[in-house]
Amino acid sequence: MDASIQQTISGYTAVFDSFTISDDALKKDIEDFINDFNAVGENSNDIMDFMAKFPASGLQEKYSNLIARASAPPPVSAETNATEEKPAGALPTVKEFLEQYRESYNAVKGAGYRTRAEKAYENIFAVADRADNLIDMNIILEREQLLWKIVTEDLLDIYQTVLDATDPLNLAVVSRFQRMIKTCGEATCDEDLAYRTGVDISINQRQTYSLISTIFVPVMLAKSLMEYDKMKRIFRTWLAPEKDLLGVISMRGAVRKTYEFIVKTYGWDFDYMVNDQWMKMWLIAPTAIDANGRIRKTLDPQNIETFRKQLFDDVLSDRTIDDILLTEQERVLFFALDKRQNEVLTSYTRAAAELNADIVFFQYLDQLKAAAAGSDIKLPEADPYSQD
Amino acid sequence: MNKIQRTVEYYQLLIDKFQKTGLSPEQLRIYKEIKELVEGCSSYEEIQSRMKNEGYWESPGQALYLDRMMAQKNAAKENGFVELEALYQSRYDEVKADSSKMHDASYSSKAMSILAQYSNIMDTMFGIYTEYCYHSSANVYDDLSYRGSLNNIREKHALLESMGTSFSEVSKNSYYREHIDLSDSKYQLFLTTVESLLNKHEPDRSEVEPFEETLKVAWEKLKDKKAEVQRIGKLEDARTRKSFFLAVPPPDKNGSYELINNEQEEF
Repeated sequence: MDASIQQTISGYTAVFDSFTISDDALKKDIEDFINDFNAVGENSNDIMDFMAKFPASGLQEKYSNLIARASAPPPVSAETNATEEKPAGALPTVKEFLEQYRESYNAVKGAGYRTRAEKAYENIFAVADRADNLIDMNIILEREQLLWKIVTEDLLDIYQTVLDATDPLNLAVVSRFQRMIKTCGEATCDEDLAYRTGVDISINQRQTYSLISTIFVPVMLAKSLMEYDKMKRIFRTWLAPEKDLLGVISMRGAVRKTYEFIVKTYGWDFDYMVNDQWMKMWLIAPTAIDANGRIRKTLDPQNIETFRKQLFDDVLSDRTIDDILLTEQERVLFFALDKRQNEVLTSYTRAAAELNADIVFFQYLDQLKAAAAGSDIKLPEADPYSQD
Repeated sequence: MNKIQRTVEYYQLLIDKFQKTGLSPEQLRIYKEIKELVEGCSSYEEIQSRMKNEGYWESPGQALYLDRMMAQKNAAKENGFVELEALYQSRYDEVKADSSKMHDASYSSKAMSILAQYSNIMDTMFGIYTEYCYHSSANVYDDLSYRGSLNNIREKHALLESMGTSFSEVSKNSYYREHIDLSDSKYQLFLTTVESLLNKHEPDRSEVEPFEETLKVAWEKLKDKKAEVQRIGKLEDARTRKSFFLAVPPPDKNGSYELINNEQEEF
């Protein structure tokens, strides 16, 4: 399984450690959920695929349900109050009662990055110094929403950590995490969280498909322009000139068709794509170097101006094809490294690690990598959007 | 303040919380009833006994469950997931009538399967859309892109039918429509073009004839220019490089990528 998927799954499921669960039916439901969640993870190609499948699988709402069941208000007037009426020796103190959260707290602390959740637990332990009895304790826990915050603060730790490691120009992913963070900050109870995350299923999907368009459209244009350039180079070798000339002519037609289709369908002309930093990058074939696609390897950015020349001076102009082929291009395309590809990839990976060194997600990923040694966890290598 | 008053205060806090969103009517009702019950008692023994006898040890759990079902039903309705909305409603009715049904988790696998069906249909529909885009830009002489995209459209079309629906049915569904970010006229063009491509297997003569005409004219002008053509090719190749950069994203969405660590090799 991809390590970033594994991390996300672990992040979600670790929240269950925060609760002391005695209900066997709930325990079984949680086990089933974790199995289903892992199955979705196993069947996802990468973190983007997983993040698209997760909300659509219905697991997100199932998760909210389980969290709600696990975090249901303590039965203050039933068991707790009943114990208050027992002889003093049988009563747990507030401190003793709150210590049931210690094991979950230690698990959260062990993760190293769940600082908000750590603080949420510490706030719960601190109630021992503020409440003289269990009723006062429950009032404080409820008034300050301290038990609910174990859930939301832990989710915030996960979402904020992933958001901080995301390319800010990847607007679909950024807005999804920003929305989840807003939901966690605003939801006051389980059904509120369930409703908001339920509504988000459709919004997330719409944004994912919009994101795909902002990727495949520039990729489609760049690919056709590179293919056109390749056809011209092949023709100029004069190995099968008449046949290759037809290749140049038809590819010129294909580029023209591509560009006209993009302008007509999306209203995006070349300048529009170049002025949008995200789409501009997709003109130069980015490939992720790190696990979250934050740092990428690209072709030479000078290709963008070469594309412009090719598109407007060659393809869309009235020039004849013989004139084009008998004129040396002012600008030429640069291609992908070949012989030094592996060496450069190693050096880029090292550089990316240095650039990401201060980002918690990547620090945590290093822990995962260490844990993965000797396990069957597959660490991410491929870019979810790569056209390689 | 005595313990009974403090307990009343605790239930008031729950009531205040469940009043806020309007999404918790069952819990709001139950906690109001419990608060009233506590207010009418003079000892803890009485509270315990009345709560047990009047079913208030179990009803908060049932109320939480019902509110959650209703919240999910409303979210499904807002999304246009008709079957899911019906599932949550029937689950709500079932648990409202018999709280012991709360522990039957089989509904959630039904919900997952409904959502998976929406997702699979959407993936396939969007797949047809991307193949339509690829086909609209394909080189007529390139089998992989031209005939490949036609074959892919047919395969995905058949896939929709194997899922118990059809391209025509899906295209009219507002949920799927919203996921394809096109104006109505462009969307209509997509639909009619796809319908017309279903029985197409190769380019029409009208698509290749202009290229063949251009070839005749251009070849006449170029066939004796081998040396010149090759010379230009070599000049361009000599200026060509193989080159990579590392792209670092900006700190926020208003910035630009920084391209660093250029590595090059000869073409």
